[in-house]
Amino acid sequence: MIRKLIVAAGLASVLAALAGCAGPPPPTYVDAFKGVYNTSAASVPADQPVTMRQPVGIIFSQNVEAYIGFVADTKAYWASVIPTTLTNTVAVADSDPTYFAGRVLGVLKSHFPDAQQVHDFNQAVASGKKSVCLIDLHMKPLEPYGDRTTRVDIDAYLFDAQMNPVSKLSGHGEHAVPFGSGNPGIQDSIDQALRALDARMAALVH
Amino acid sequence: MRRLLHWGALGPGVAVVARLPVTLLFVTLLSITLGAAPARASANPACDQFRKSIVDMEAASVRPPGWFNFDSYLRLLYRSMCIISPTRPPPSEPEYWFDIDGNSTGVPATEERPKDGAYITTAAIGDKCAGTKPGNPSMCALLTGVAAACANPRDAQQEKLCKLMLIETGTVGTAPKGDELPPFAVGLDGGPYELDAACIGALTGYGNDLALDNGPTDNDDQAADKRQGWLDTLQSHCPDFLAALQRRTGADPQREPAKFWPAFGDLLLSGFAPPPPPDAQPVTIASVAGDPGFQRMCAAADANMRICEQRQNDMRSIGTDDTGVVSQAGAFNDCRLLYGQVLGMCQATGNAAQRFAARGGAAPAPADPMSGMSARCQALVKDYIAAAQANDGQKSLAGYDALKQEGGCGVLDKVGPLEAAPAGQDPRFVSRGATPMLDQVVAPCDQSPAECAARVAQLKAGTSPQAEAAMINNAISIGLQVGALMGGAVMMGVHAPAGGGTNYRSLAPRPVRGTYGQGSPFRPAPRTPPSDITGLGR
Repeated sequence: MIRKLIVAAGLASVLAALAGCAGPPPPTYVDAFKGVYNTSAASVPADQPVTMRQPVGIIFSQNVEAYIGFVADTKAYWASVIPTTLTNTVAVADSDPTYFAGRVLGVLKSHFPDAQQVHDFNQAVASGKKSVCLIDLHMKPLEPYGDRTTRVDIDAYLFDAQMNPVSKLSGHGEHAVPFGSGNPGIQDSIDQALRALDARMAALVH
Repeated sequence: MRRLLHWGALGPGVAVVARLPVTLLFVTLLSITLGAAPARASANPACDQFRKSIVDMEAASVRPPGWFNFDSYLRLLYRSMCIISPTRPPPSEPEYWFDIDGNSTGVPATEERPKDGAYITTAAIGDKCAGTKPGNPSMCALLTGVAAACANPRDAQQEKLCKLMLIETGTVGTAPKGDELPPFAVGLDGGPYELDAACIGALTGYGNDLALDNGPTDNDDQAADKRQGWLDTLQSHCPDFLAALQRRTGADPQREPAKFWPAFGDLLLSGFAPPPPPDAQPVTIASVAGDPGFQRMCAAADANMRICEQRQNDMRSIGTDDTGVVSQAGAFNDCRLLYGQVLGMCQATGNAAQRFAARGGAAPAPADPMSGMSARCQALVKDYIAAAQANDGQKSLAGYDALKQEGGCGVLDKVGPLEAAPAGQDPRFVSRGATPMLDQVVAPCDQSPAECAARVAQLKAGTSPQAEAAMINNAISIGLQVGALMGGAVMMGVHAPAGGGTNYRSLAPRPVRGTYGQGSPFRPAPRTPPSDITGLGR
């Protein structure tokens, strides 16, 4: 019971856990093309108008894979040390990567109705995709005793029919978490970033 | 006839020298990106040289498998480095080795370190710092050099580093842009023809398929099926170029594919060179792959790519993370990628040459897969291909099943399993490893959008103010319950069990007694009659 009290009093630490304060370390982000394409993503020009031939293949970067793994590891870790009754269900829902996946796919399919997720460029070419959109994610969780802002950057790298990267479109979102709040604001940050990305795609992608 | 590749000595991060007659100019390109461009009177001489090298290469080089990918990479790199975000070239003032006492050795910094060489700086800084004895000339040179660089930072990254070191910086100057590259053009009968992206894509696809594989076990066996697509692209996007191809090859691709494709392949490999003299040796994939210059280039590219990768991994800059793609690590990353592109072309060419040799050196004509088929089989195959090209998964599956029921029609046994993704020959593509997290989370969302949307809505509701209030109420409720239990225990005077066992105080020295000077000054001095010290007292 004493243990429960300590846990209850330290509710913030649960949030901190999901935010990367303790538990598994957050992922180290790598070049968006690493493990997928033999070029540095840094060389891709930003905000270039581009014509995407359909059907479009959607590839999620290694950073997305690492982020989902980080969320899963963190959730499992804290489930092992925090009683179920004291789990911050809001933070768990907020950080669920299905939200990111569903929202990103929703935005992309609103622009490319026949788009499908593909494993890599080989599969994209083999399955007849005429262009590719590679999605990269950088998420900076809130630091309970430091920068209490969650930040999300979503980048879409657009590859033309020759599978050359021709444009990078970006969206940024952030959410300052007040003391005492149980919501890390990841969903809010994702929504902001996707709104910005959606607007750029509407203006630049044809 | 065009000559093959000639490479001079090259090393990572150093100036590259090459013999460049009329052939591929990779080496010059490397020298540009590594900052060793020759000085020229121009707004941005490095970009001018880079641009010229690309144009020369496109005009004069042979085009083995992988060449188009390499060319695309260079064009992209040029656009990034010289059009989108040009950087000013490094200062051209020469630097020299100095000894530890600040004396110039007279050895240029571009040469091997002399025995007494301790540091590198310009002559001006070296002279200025030489008089700092008995100080530290090398430290003086370092700080003076940094201050000079920060006074005129090359780019935002350098400016950031200076500010991190609390050094005053000047403004980042705007680097002049290079000229736009000319459109990709092919000099051919009646040309030159400027090709758009679609036509270049068709050439890239066929350029990687020069071995003309049709075998059932080759990764490129699907390429044969793509040839009709390439023809359609050329017909719709650059019909004049296709007509020139037909004139030059003397073959109609629809009626004489067996003649057209090998002749087209020879043309493409030669860089669309004029017809060679009758006694000249034709350029073949084997002759390119076996050329000593080409092999030296490939070996050097492999070695240098590895060295650059190692140096990139060893290099970290202030303010960078482990990606190592900015600043000095970024320079080594660029170096790694560039050599990697060359190596990718080498591998693609080597693979094609091996496949070609495995068939005895004869490039077979693309077989007509429909020949000898029953009318029903032909109809089934056509339907299946049409469904696949339309990316209609259900129809494709139905077509596949129908073909299977028909016994395969002599074609299913020549392709892999339905779901098998063929390994790509494109050197730009990395065969990706397993992605279990994406498979668990993203793939279901992609396959079942409606269910995913419902789950997203559920997650959204899970972060609503109501959900947050409920979660906090729950935590408070539990805290209050625990607090009530603890409070009740205190009120009842129930102590937590001590646990028994050893009283560790017995092992410690006696507690300090309250004596004058040891307690609080706010307390009265303890009485000590008679005095322990003087022995006086009552």
